[in-house]
Amino acid sequence: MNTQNKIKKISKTFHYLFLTIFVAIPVSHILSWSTLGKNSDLTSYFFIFNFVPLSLKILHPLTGGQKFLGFLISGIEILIIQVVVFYLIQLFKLYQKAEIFTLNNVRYFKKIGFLLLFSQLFKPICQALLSFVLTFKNPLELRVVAFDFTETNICILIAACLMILISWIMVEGCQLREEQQLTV
Amino acid sequence: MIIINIDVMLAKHKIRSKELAEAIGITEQNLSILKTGKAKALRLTTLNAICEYLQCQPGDILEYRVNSKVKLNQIDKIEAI
Repeated sequence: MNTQNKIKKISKTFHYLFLTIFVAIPVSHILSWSTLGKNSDLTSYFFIFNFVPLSLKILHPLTGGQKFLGFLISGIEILIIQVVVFYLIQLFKLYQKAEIFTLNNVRYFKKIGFLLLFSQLFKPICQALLSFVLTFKNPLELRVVAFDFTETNICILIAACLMILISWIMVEGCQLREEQQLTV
Repeated sequence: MIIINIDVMLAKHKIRSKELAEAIGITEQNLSILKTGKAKALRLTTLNAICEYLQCQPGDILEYRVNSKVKLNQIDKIEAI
């Protein structure tokens, strides 16, 4: 019971943390794109999500159209992150109720794992599109279509695979729990 | 399949489920799981406690009945021969 209380307590903290992140991400996304100015420093905001390679050079102030397109393209990645955070909120909500080995938990683990996997496979496409949109006004020879695949991406891919594996282990845990519940 | 004849024994000894559950140290819910055949396992300590309280043998509580599906399969096998 002591461990269960610890799980409930820490899950509550994570629940509120992810709720805050869930609200903060779209707000900062909208604010950043709307306030992106001349000689834009991509590293200040985009660095967090690595939307484009950090070496990208924007030589002209972005037009409204470029900003809007950029917002939409990076919005796809933001949407995926939001869904992952939403599932994390639901997961920690269940942990708060001491529901640990349930099929709902398994579903969330699986969904998060596959979403993270998908996001890393989709990321280069997003990066390429975004870099093209952002450098469209550059001189012809300085327009780029760029994407990178760093150790961060590899770490997220490994984390995604681990989440999927953990979901399979959780299925075993659910079966054990059901057997234990029906043992008199 | 194994059938648990607790209801029969309770009726014989004129004991209520609640009384038995309290006496052997399990919840009424668990006793209900046992009575309705939903239990996947029965601890020997629980069986021991039931037999001690009801003054009976494990065979009075537990009964093996051939599953109807298994019976049909056996009949099919015999007919095939």
